[in-house]
Amino acid sequence: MKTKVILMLGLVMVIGCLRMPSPEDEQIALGREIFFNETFNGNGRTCGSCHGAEDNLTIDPISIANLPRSNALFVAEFNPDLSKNFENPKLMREHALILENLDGFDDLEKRVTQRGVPHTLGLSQSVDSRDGPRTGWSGDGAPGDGSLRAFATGAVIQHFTKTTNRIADVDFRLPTDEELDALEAFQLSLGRQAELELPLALKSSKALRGQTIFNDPTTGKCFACHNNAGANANPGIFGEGAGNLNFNTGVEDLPDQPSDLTGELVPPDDGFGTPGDSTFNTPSLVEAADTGPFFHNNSINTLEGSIAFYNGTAFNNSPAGQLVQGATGSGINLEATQVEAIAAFLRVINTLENIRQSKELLDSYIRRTFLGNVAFEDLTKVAEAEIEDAVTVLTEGTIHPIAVIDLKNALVHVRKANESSAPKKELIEEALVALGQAEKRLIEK
Amino acid sequence: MSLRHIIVTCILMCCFLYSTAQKSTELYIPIGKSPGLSGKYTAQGKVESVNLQDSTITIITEAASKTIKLKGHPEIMLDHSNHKQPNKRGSLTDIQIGVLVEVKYRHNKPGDSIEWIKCAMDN
Repeated sequence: MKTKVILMLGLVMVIGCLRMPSPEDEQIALGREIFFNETFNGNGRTCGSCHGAEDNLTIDPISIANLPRSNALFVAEFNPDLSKNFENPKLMREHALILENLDGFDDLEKRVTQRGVPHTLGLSQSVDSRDGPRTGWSGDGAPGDGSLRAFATGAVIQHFTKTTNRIADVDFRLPTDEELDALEAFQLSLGRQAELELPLALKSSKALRGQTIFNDPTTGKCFACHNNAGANANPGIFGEGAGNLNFNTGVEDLPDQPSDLTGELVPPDDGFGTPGDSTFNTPSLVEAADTGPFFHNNSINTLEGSIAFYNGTAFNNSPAGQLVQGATGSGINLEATQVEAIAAFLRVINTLENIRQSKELLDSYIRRTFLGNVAFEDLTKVAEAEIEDAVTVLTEGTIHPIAVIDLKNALVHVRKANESSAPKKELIEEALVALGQAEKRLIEK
Repeated sequence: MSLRHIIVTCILMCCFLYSTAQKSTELYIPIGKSPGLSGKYTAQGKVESVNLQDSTITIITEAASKTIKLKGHPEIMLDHSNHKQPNKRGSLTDIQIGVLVEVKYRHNKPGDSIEWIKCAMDN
């Protein structure tokens, strides 16, 4: 009898402390569990091996350098069955490039592409187009029906296999329908759930000017393909509902690509389809500032460099560049100050998104609400990573130094909360106040 | 070049893009397990007859016998997974009477050209 009472009380306490999850939350939580822990009976990798929770669901050379040698990401280095024709460790470690056999598996040695890992943030705003879903760097990343849901099946086959034979139920197992549903729900829950509505009332005059140039059809012209700084094409130019489109912007024509300088085999990437049409999918820019390197082949490391790309010959001679010239009478010719202004704009909107996410995470901790896409015990750790990103993004752009102080203040409180075993509520509340102060310095509310 | 011209060009480009979704990993997906397609937009059945001159195959599905015109240079994929062997690309001559096949129409429209055919191989 006593045991029953204790159990009931415990149940009441649990119910009182944590809001019960909805079925949707539970599916998202299942997707999270699969994404970060399920190896599908393969080589030990998970989706999280490349899409790290605390790395904005992507990977770069710095995060790779901090992984232990035994991490499954490096399976090609310690599994003899995968030592050839699976990854190029040098390109992976130096440039965060992952090998893909997008044009078929007939010639594993030579018929390969090397691509960066796209983040999986804001997918609810960046996959749909009037011509079907667009996943991966060339917009054709998924087998089956080509949907985000089907994407995981292709990823398991390409990246999780025990050997290059890729035999189902020997080298891996395919995700079940339930797992695909959960993975899709989880990925769609990540990051922004709405597009920005530009123009924003930004407080930095440089970022404000950058936003103007971004949206100006005579100078930046960025809004045409990145409407509201997202991944979708401007409906006024490309038609209502155009959505997330592909373009050939000439990235493949850049000279001195970092991966080429290594001397390793890096065949040309022909983009969408087989044979490819040289187009690549438009990524969102809200998340850009803290998810470099940039473009499908990680050819540019800095935000400013990725903007300056559009000034160059490679872009202006490309089909997309020619379209811009035809429509507007000129190519894109930004001065250095204008490049930096656009970068300032992108840094500020990225910081605002980092603040939004970290507030959501910390608020969820305080109110003990269930946030399916982050485990309760990880809420404050992921928030710490988001705030760290915000500090880095603003500091690297030398913008909003006072907001940086507020963000560092928030970081101190969150780190103390993460390190101490004492009650965290007050520390988190202080962090939320500091985040609110930082946010007010960036935008009129 | 007017904006209208650009819009038309881009729409035409996008229409072309729609027809070619990622296929390379499809090779390794066994018959009946293509996500979002099998059981919805593909036809599965045993081959009743093959006519290479007319480029047609007739398959017996659960519902009925179906003659399918092999227009559009379909990709032929040989499914060896039942025997724990690697799948491979094949050709029309690999489609034998009695084998289980799965057929996908381009744009998921029956009667349209065939995008791919998977054949379950006996060995």
